[in-house]
Amino acid sequence: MDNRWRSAAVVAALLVFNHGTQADGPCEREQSRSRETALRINQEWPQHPSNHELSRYIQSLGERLGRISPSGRAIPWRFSVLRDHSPYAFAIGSGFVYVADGAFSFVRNESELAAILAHEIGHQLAGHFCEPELPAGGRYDPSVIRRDSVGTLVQVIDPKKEVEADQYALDILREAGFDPRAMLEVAKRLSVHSSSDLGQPENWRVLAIQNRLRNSRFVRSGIQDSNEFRRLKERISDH
Amino acid sequence: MSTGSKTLSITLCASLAAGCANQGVNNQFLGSLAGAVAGAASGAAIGGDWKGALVGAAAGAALGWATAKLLEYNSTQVRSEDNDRQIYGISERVASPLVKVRKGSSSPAQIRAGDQVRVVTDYSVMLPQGMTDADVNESWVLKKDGKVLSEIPQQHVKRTGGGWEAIASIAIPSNAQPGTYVVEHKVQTGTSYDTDESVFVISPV
Repeated sequence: MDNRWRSAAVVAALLVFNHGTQADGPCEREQSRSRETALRINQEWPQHPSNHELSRYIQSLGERLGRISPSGRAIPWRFSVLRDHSPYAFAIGSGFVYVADGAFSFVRNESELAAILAHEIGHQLAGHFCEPELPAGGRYDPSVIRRDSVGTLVQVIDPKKEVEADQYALDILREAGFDPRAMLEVAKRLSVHSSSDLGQPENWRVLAIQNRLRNSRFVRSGIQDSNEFRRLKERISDH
Repeated sequence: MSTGSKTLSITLCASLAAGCANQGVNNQFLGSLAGAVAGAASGAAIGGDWKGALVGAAAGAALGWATAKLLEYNSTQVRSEDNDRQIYGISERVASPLVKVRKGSSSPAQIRAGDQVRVVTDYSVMLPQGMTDADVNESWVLKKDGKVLSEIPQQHVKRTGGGWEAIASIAIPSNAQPGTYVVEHKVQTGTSYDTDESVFVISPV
């Protein structure tokens, strides 16, 4: 078994027992760091006001997904919509999640949008923001960890954590009544477009999601988009 | 620069240096997608504007509006990139160009039909390291009661980093109805865009 596969399988297995990592909410270090980062984002990034219909919809959908698990109920979820036609999303800890409005144009249905949010929620629930800043030894392994930028923020992308967030997302989608296969669809389409590791035909994220879907009773069909989603998607497409 | 904003800048800088791991778990996912599909997204956005313009013109015509005329346009840099960085506590370079509207305003606050209104958009342009300027589109849309009445022709300009003021004088048609009008100020560079709104009132004759 390939090492990467083994890791993914271990992560997937652990996840079944691992929900509740953030049962007490964000840790102290996470809270101060995320507050500072949120302030910075407010100064630098164009955002839709919180009372904008798009913001209210995303907040409502995000909260619904975030509160699916008991651990998620302790987190004050705050979803913001950035004004950017590129489709991306990121989380900074303490329940702060940012989604570019380009994600609306990118997704084909509400389950796919929910998958994007659920992935970010997954990072939070997995406690990724509460971990030590640097691994033992004081540096990241550049052959595994990738650094990237979004706005003025530096992202350190750990494939294991991405896979872990995806696995949380699958559970969230299923519990919330969305089609978990949307996670796979989104990851596949990203892998086609992306110039990153995801662009490789055999990337662990797609494989790990496929593996989990195969081994679980996740399949749902006939899920309809809400009227609100349809209306907002149409509006975004017109602009 | 006030002491408050200095403190903020330093705090943010320290946060960035120490906080990479924290941000790092964010999102490969869509973050990595952004660059790859940016071109397609921009194309769609331009298509959307065009469609929006037609819809706007039709709505305006239905309400008895002629196209609001752009009488005069000028722009000026009001803050250097350094000024902007100090004022708004921007500690690091952006990865791709960003715009942020700081304030949109219209004056005078009250006019009569057939008068001019002066609209001003104050915005910041943030550029990545090594990029000296960016293509920016500035536009204004006139609305009343939530309906688009008229779109002022876009200004396509090159902008260096820093704070800019785009100023336009718009002739309001003489058949404009009394009431409150909303100006939507919009600025876009690449896939990043921002908007703000200001209002003016057309008083009864």
